[in-house]
Amino acid sequence: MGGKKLHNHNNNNNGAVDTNSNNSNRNGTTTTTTTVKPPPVTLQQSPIINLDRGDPSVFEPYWRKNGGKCTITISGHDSLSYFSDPNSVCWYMEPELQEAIRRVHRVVGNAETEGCHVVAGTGSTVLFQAALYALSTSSSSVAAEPMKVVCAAPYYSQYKEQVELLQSRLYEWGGDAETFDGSAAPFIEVVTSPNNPDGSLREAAVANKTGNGKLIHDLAYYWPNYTPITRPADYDIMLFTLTKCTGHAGSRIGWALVKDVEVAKKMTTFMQITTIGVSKDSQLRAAKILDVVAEDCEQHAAGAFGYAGNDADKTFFGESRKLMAERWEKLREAVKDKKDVFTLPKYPKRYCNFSGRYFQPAPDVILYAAAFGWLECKEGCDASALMKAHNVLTRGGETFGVSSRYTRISMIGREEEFERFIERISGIQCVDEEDEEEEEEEEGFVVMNGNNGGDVIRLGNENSNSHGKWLEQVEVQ
Amino acid sequence: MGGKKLDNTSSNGNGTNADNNNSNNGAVGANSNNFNSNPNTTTLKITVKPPPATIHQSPVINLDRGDPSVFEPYWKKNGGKCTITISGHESLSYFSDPHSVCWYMEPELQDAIRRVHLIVGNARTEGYHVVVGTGSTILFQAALYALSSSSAVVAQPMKVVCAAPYYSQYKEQVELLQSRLYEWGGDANTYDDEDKTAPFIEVVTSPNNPDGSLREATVANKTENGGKLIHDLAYYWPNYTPITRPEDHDIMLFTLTKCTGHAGSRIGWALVKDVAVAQKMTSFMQITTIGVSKDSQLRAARILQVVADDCESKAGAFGYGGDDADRTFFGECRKVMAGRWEKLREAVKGNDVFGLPKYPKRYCNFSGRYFQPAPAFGWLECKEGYDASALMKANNVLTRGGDTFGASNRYTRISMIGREEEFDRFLERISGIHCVNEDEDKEGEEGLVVIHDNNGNARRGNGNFLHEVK
Repeated sequence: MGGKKLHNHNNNNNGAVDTNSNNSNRNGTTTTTTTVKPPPVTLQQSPIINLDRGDPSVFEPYWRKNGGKCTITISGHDSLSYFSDPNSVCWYMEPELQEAIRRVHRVVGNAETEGCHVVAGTGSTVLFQAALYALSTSSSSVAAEPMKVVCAAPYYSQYKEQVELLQSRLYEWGGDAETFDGSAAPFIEVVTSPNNPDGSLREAAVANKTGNGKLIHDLAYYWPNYTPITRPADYDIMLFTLTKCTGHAGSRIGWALVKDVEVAKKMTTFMQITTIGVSKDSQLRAAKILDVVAEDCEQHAAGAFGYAGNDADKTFFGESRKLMAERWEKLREAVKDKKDVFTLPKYPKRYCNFSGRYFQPAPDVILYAAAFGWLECKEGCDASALMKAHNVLTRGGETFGVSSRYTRISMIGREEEFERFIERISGIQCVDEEDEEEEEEEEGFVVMNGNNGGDVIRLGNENSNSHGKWLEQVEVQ
Repeated sequence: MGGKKLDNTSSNGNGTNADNNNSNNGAVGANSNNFNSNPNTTTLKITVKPPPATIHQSPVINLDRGDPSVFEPYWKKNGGKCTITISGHESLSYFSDPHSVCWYMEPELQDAIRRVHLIVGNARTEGYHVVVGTGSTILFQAALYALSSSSAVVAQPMKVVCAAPYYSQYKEQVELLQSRLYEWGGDANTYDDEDKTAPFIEVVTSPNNPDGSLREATVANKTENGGKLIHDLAYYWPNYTPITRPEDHDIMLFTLTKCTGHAGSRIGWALVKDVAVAQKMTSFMQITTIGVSKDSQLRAARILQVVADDCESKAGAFGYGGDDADRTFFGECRKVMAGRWEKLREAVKGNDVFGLPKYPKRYCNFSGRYFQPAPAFGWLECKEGYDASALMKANNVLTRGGDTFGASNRYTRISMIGREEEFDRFLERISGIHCVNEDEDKEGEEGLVVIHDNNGNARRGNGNFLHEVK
């Protein structure tokens, strides 16, 4: 489970039942316990901290300071027409936007645009659906059965929803790519890299093993504010979104880099039939923003061909990355002493071409800081319910196709909210096993794994009404 | 064929069809002209002079699509008031209004929408939820989803019907993803569900695209279980048609594109009575596009407020006198549209080839006067035996043929809302299309001849457009 990993990003195989990494396992050992102190009763009156969604407020301070350069003015007689560029496959796409997209990819080096067609969308979500349509209606995929759409778990929770929305006969959700048999019929594999929710860098899990798989690469987070840029991505269909690149979620701009002109045409047709194109106001705004970002990067370039460490740090990406890295440090610090309860993925240091091209005497090696924290709780614990009991909303593992002992927390929200979350999670206390006997009278939360690895036995005071809602949802797996 | 027509003018007791079209919208009309396909007649001949050979060097005139360039001169003159500025730190979030069902909708836009409907009087908004979309196209699809995925378990896909001639894109949209939730059911007039209990969806477009007629539901009101209704009111604005009353249906779709001409902003909205439907439509928008561009929402809000201000500043205490309404955005655009229709009617008056619908004058509450509708599209009818869009094409004019609207291909739809220069060129071009009298028909000429034989079959003469004669 979890997709083919490139460099061991996680020490727990993303939810696979791992027998080595912790002291609770299901192989017939005797009972083990983990205890978490109940949150104070007053906590329920504390404000709810919502880290469930990926609203990219983290970039707001940067844009408040630097947003002036991106200001655009739209007059009443602008953008009246449906049409933008009769010479492009994507006829509703403003030429300025296409140029800005190609420019920023060139400057950042995260995707090869030469030979690719650009298709713009109202966010990348709808482009994902456009790609599904294009791939499942191509002449080579005449199928009696709907094409299966698979993705290695943990996968982005929304793909399944999007695939199943209209119960199309063209395609249907096929679940975890790792357990999918791709030899039978043509299928579509979605590869998200870096992955949402766990931040790992990925390759196709099954499409490369058979000739039948069509690939969609969702590269929403493949920007140097989150992850090292190791090479320019070069796939058949690559999806990007302004939302995660610069933080401008409200503009609803995404784009696809598409190699095959027929696929690009079909995606354009899909966009035509669903929304007759994309807001020109937003396209022009996005073009301005991307140009400003590209300009900013080029200005900080040291030599003729690239960047040196400190200069990269001064770019939009560099400053955002520092912010993200700081947050990750704080989060790791906060859960450091709670290893019995929480685990976070470990990401190896990688060389970033974007930042490293700002070249100092020593190569710049940076930690990367994914947009979401993939929090793992000890087995037996429902992570999102545990968080909820502490008035923190997160998105539980089942929506990503894995165990409920994982939950996804947004690392890209507002600073104040993140600080409050750090405080909140720091306050979660573990109780040592040796202390356990004394704790029986306290309102303890105790989770015990039964001998057969499947049973969950709840203990605690009968009078305690704070057994913790999250124990109700513990899955017996 | 053609849907039940409304006729509010009390003086006319002639029934519904005669007023709006002189050809029953594509029904085989036996009386309106001297050509018919009654197999008992002997051969007939219609001859249209071929266009000059040089025609294909003339620029192509594209009237196929509904790009609303007609409003550009108005906005070039008055667009300054609508100017908005968006800074780099604005509109970062996905979210707009946590108190609204439609959480991604900017409050300013909702206010502006309600205000402009109040002023124009074309729709009730009290008690309605507003749902915003990237144009109204996607809201149509959101409505299909909301109506077909309700908790009532349906074994069959819900049929989606619309009275012909219907907007050519509905079928495409319904069939795009071969959904199991709904499917295209064709012409509402001929929809006949055998067991009469299967739920269905009827789309009512009023004024209609392509033929500009005002419509009511055709079949949804007749069945026991009642169809669910979607009203597409894209053209129900006083620049095209008299506003006779505020509409008050379950789901009403509008689009900025056709209201003010700002197609590029991709803003549409739905007025929805049922909160559960509004919630489902919002879910659909969330899953497909996670909402709607805020930049465009704010721009649309500004534009609609400017239009509303303009209307209010020209009104008397309780509405408008004729001249004042004429000076509003809607009034000025209506005059432009009326001017174009006059010229078009003039251009086809002389020849026997073309027919245009007739629209009765109605009283417009907004304008405070009677006027004749001037729809966004001309529904051009050719004499029977002609494929209208092919005839147009032979004259280097691109139009959209009747078959895509579920009607006969002797109709074709032409855009009346394109650029002024292009429209003038079209008038010139269509004025040049002449009939030739039967006696003048000379065999030696490159005549375009269609001959009907006794069995109603058409035999081809010269000319490309005859290939597709049905």
